[in-house]
Amino acid sequence: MSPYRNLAANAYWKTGVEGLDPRSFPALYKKKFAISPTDRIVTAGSCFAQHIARVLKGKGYRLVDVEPAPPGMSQTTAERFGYGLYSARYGNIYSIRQLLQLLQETKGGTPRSESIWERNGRYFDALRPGVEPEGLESPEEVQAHRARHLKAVRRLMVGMDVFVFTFGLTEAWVHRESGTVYPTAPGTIAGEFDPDKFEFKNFTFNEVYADFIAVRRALRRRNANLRFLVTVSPVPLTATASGDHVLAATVHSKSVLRAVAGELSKEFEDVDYFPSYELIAAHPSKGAFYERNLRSVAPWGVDAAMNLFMSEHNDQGAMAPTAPRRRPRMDDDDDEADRVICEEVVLEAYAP
Amino acid sequence: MTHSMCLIGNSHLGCVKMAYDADGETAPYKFFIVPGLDFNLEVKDGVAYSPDRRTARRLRQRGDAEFRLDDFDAFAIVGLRVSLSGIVRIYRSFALWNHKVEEGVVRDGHYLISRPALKSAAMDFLAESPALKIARKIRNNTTKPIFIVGQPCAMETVKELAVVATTHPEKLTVRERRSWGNLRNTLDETIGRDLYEIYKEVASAVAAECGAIFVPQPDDTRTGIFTKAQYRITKEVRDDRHANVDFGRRVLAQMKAEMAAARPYLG
Repeated sequence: MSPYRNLAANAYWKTGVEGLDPRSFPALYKKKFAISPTDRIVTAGSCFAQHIARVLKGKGYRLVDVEPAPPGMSQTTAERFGYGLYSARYGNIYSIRQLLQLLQETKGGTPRSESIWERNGRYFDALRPGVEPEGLESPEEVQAHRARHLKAVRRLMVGMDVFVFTFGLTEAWVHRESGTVYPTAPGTIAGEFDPDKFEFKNFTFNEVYADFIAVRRALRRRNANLRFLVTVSPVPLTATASGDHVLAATVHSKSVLRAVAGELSKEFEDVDYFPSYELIAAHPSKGAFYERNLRSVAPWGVDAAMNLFMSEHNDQGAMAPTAPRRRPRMDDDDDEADRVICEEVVLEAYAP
Repeated sequence: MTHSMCLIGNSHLGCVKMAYDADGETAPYKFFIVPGLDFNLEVKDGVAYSPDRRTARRLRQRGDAEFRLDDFDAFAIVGLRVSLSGIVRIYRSFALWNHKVEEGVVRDGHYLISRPALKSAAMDFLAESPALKIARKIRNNTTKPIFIVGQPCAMETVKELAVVATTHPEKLTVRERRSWGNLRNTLDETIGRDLYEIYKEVASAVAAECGAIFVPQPDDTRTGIFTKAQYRITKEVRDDRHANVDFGRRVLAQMKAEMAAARPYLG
C-alpha cells in the first residue's frame, strides 16, 4: 500500500490547493501552542510584522509596549516616529543578526561602531534611523536616546511570554571592522557610504539559523517558558546589491529565511511557524494579495493572513472573512499600505 | 473707520468681555461665549450656528445663538483648548534631552522625547482643539482675518500646588492632583521658557495651516509657562486658571493691534 493513501485533504495538491480560494486552503496553519489573551506578546521584525502587531492589538491581545507614544500624539504621527509599531522603538529589524546585536548591546556590550550618522547637520541612530525622521540635535543626544532605548529593551526581554518575529531580509550592510549590521545602507537615510568601511553581506542559511538559536538562547535564559511565533515577510526586496536580478535575489532570500523558519519549527516545540508567506506570496494566490506593484501587501492580503491566524487562535472562531476588494488603480491612495513604515522602500528612490 | 470683530470662546474669553464692558469700549466687538469645551460651530449659507442644542441654548441666553459671517470684519477665537496643556501633559513622563542635561529634570522613569516629536505631538493636540475646528469652519466660508488667542497659562500661584501634588498628594483633591501634578517637571523657568517657545511655534504653525493668525500671550504677563499672579482672577472659590480684567485689557489691546495690522486687508 502506498504511504500516500488516506492522507488528509491538505496533503494533496488536488484537494489542498487546486480550485480552492487561497483563503480557504484546508489546515494551511495548525497552531503548535495556544496564545491566551493574557500572554504578553512582543513583536519585532521586518515591516510586515507591523501588520501582525496592529491586528493582534485590535483583537485584544496583550501587546507589550515599553516605549509608548506621548499622550495626545495622533497614530499617524506616532508611527512616523516609530511609536507603537513594535513593542519598543527599535524600528524595522530586517535581519536576525540585527536582533542578536541589539540583545547583545542590552547586556552592556560595547557601543556599536559607526552607529551615529549625520545628514544636513542632524544626527541619526544608524541602528534605527527611521524612528527620528528629522534626526536629533547632536551625537550626544543620539547616544542618550539610545541608552534609554536599550534600557527599555532590557525591560522588554524579561516581561514577555510570546515573541513574534518576522524574518525580512538576508541582505544587509555591515561595518567591516566591527561587524555591526545596519537596517539600511549607509547613505540611504543618512550617513555616507564608504566602500572601505562598509560591505555588503548576504546571510546564509547557517548564519541565519545560528543567529536565531543565539537569540532564542538569550531570551529563554530570562524566561524558560518563552514561546516564539515566526513568520517570513512576503514583501519582496525593493532592491538588491547582490548582483542578481531582484526577483532571483528575492526568491533566494525568502527561500533561505523560509527554510530556517521551517527548520526551527521542526526542531523546537516552542517555535511555531505561521505560513503567511505561503498564503500571500505563493503562486496559487496569483499575486492577488499584492498591490499593483506586486511588492506591497494589499490590505486584503493582510486580512487573509490574519484571518488564517485567528482561525487557529481565536476560540470564538475566525474573523468573518472579508471579500477581496477590487484591485486599486495606480493612483489610488491606500491608507493601510501607506501606514506601514518601511525604510527599505527608500531604495526605490535610487531606481533609474 | 472702526472695524467689527466677532469674538468666540469659552470662559477664558470672559476677562476680555469684562474689560470691554468695564472700560466702556465703543469698538463694535460682539462676544459669543460658551463655557467648557463643547463649543462647536457649523456654517450654512453664511450663517454660523451651533448644531448642538445645549450650546445653542447657552448662546441664546447670552444674546444671539447665531451670526452672519458677513456682519464682521474679523474673527477671534479665544481659549477652547489652545493652551500649553498638551505639552505639559507630555512632560509628565517625557522630557527633552537638553533639559535632562541642563536641569536634571529627567528621572529614571522618564522617557526622552526629541524636539521634532514633541512639536509634532503638540501640533496634533492643538489641531484637534475646538478652537481650531471652529477656525477651519469659518475659514471655509470667508477670507476675513481669523485670530487664535490661547487661554492664559496657569497662574504662578499653582507652582506650590504642583510641588505638593508630588510630595504630599493626599493634601490635594483628585482634581487638583490631576491638574497640577502634571506641572511638576515644568516649574523651572528655563524649561518653561523653552516649552512656551515650542508652544508658540507650534500654535502659529497650526493656526497658519487653517489660514489663521496665532496671538501669543504677552511676554510680560508670564514667567516661564505661568501667568504672573497679578493677573489671577479673584473669586470666592480659588481659581488658578482664569485671568482677571487687567489681563482682559491686555488681550483687548492685542486684538486692537492685530486689527490695526490687518487694516489693509479689511477693506
